[in-house]
Formats: sequence, C-alpha cells, structure tokens
Amino acid sequence: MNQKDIQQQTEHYLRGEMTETERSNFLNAAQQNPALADELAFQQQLFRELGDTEKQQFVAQLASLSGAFFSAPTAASPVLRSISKFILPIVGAGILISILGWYVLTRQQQPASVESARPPDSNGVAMMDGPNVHRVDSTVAMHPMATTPALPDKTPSTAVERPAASTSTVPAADPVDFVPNAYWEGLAARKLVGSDRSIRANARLSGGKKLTLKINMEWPGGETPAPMVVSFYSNKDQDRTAATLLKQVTLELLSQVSDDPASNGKKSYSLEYSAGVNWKPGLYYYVISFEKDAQPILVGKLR
Amino acid sequence: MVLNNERYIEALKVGDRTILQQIYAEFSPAIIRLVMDSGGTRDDARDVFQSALVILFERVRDGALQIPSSFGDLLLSICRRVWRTRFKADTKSKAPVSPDDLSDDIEEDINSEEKNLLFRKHFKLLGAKCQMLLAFFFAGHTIDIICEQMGHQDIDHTLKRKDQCKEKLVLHIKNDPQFTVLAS
Repeated sequence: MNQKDIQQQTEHYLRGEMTETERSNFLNAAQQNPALADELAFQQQLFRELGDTEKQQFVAQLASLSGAFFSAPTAASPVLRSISKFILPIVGAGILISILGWYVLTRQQQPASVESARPPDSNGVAMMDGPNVHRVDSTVAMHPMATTPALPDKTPSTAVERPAASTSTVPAADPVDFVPNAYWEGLAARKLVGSDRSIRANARLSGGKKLTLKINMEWPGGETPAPMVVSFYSNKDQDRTAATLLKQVTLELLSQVSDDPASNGKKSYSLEYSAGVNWKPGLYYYVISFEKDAQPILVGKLR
Repeated sequence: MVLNNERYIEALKVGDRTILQQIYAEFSPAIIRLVMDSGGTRDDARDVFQSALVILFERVRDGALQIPSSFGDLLLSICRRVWRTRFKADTKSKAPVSPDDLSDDIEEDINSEEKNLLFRKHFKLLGAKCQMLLAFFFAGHTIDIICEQMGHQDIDHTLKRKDQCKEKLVLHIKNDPQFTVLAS
C-alpha cells in the first residue's frame, strides 16, 4: 500500500465504511505494518478531536471567556504617560481658550443678529446673554454656545451616525456554528403531525439581520389549530438542553391567516412572519409547537 | 464565593458560562503568576489554563474525574503539569517542579491534549470553507449531506475538496516542529 492508499483505508475504517471482513483485514495489516499503525493512531486522534463537536464548542466557549481575564492590565507607555500628564492639559486649555475667544469675538461682532435669530425662550438660556456676554471666566459661558444656531447642527448628526455604523458589523463566521445538531436534525427529518394534517415552513436569514418565516398548514376542517409558538435555537446542544432560546414568537394564527376551505374537508392556513435580528453566521433551528404542550410539530433549520 | 466541587463539575459538564467565568476570575491570577514567574507570558498562561480546563472537561464527560481535595487545587496542579510539559524543551523557561497528588495517567491526558491543541491550531489556520467541510467530515456526516450543506454541485467536487483540505491540514500538522517533539 502506498501512502495515499494507507490514508484512504484508514479513513474508511474510522468512518465505519468497511465491511466486517475489511475491518478485520485492515486491523491485521495495521499490526504488521508500522507505517499503517502510525497513520491509524494519528488519524484516529485527528477524527476524535476535530469530530468532537461538543468539545469544540466547549473550547470555543473558553476562548471567548479567557480574553477578559488574561489580557494585560492597561499600562500607558512613558511617552503616553507624559502626553496625558502635560501635553493633553495644555492642548485642552488651548482649545478651550480658542473656543471662548471665538465665542466672545462672535458675540461682540453680531450681538443683535444672534439675539434676533434665537426664538424667545423661557429655559433660562437667554438670561446668560446681554450684560454677561463678554464674560470669559467661567465654564458656564459654554452652555449658551450649545444653543447658538451654528454649532448644534453638527454635533448631533455625527453622534447619531457613529452607532449606526458600528451596529452594522456582522461577526465573522465560525465553523463550529455550522455543525449540525444531531437532536434537531433527527426531528427535522421526521413528520411530527398525524397523516390527516400537514405543516410546511420555510425560514430565511438575510445577512444575519432579517429573519423571514413562512408557514403553510392544512388542518382538518372541524378542528381549530391551537395557538402555536416558534422557538429559535442555535446549533449548540447545550442551548437546547438548557432551553436557551434566541427568540420565541407566538403565532396568532387565526387572526393573521387566510382561511380557505379546501375540497377534502381540510382548511389551509398560511402565515408569513418577519423580524429584525442580529445573529452571527451559523446554523439555526426553529421549532414550531403548540403553546399548551410545547410538543414540536415541525422542526426546520436556517442559516 | 467559593463553590463546592459538584458545582464546578456540573459547570464543566453543561458549559455553564457564569460558573466558568467564576473559575476564570478565581483561579486565573494564580496561573498568570505561576507562568510569568517562570518566564512565560500572559498568552502562555491563558493557553495553559484552557488546556487544564479542557482536560477536566473530558474527564468529567468520561465520568473519570476524581477530586482529591478541592477543585481549585486540582486545576492548579494540572496547570503546573501542563506548563512543565509544554515548556520542557524550552531552555529559557524555568518551569517549577513540585510534588502534587495527581494520578499518573494525567501525563497521558496532557500529552494527548497537547496534540489536540496542535490539531486545533492548524485547523483554525485553514480557510473558513475548508474548516466547515472538515468539521462535517470529522463529525461523521455522509458526503451527500456535506455536499448539500456546503452548497456544492456534485459529490465528486465535495470529495475532491475534502481530500485537498485534509491533505493541507495533515501536512501542516506533521510539518510543525512541535509535532515531532510530541510524537517522540
């Protein structure tokens, strides 16, 4: 066997893709071939480690926790320390004096126009104008500036734009977040309602920001579907077992759906739900169940 | 607040984030001191701490964890051993050698975890698509499902990509000098 054959045979063995005879022959060969035995030991550990999704999730959790506890305490360099100790106060004082000087000059040059531009108010700002307009000795003099027409227009607009830019960041994809969850996959592959009824759903996640869910149901005509809930889970088994939901929505089905009589005595229902979310890239599951007993009637997935 | 051993074990078993944070808060300063006093860095301390917790996690999961005294003592002892093992080959470090009451098979766990760490390190260096494909593959999913999950056109393409990604991963692991040290 060449190296390629050894690797392929080992893969087949580890993935359980060999017959009993093939397995036996492979193990016998490994006992007599040290290269094969080494490759088997290596790949066995590789498969065990990287295929252990529970462990990978635990490791990822530790990695996300550790930063706060092992990062170096923030100690400024000597240069930064001298900047913060001497230069910054000087620069700050210079800026303050410039602003105050500009303010005083502006008030001296156009006292009437500024006064006339300001609507009559009763919030106490006007009290600081007039005789005190030349005053430069107090920080109190800064407050009226915020109400003059020129400056306030700029300050709020930049303050609004920054958060909007930062919230649009979507976290990077992590393969661990795409690993299928065996439990939900099992339920997703099964029909969970009786043969006299059906439920289909389609969920989409656009850019991790917009969640859309469409549900179509056929239910026996004489039976009114009970209120339902849709619960959204991550792919993590620990979230499932701890019932940690990403989102839960109550479907007010009867008040929101069209109710078209079908020919075979069933009624059809449909519902479209959409909401804004902020989910990182990953595999997610939705579980539709009746509100009263929480038994899943449909499990689906979205990414 | 000091929790009893059972609470720590349960936290490892279910990945309780709050108690894991408490473990970090309570025991990380001692590990940082231990590692930095013997020539390591904060990053070394973080890696040592994580390896020790992973070893404990696997023992808890296998039902093989025995705590001789307290959880904290056990964690710190494992950290010492991990640190000593990891930097055995580094002549600059002066890893402390002190007696502890760990069982003999802990060395085996540490060596195994060192290899696993190497696997994880090189796995993380692969491209995102390779990582995703191999995660499915190692988790035992069939090629059909992987093909569907990856959005590939056909299974042949999935098999080819799997071979390429896995070969790259194996090559990087085996070419890592640390791998030779651990294998010897």
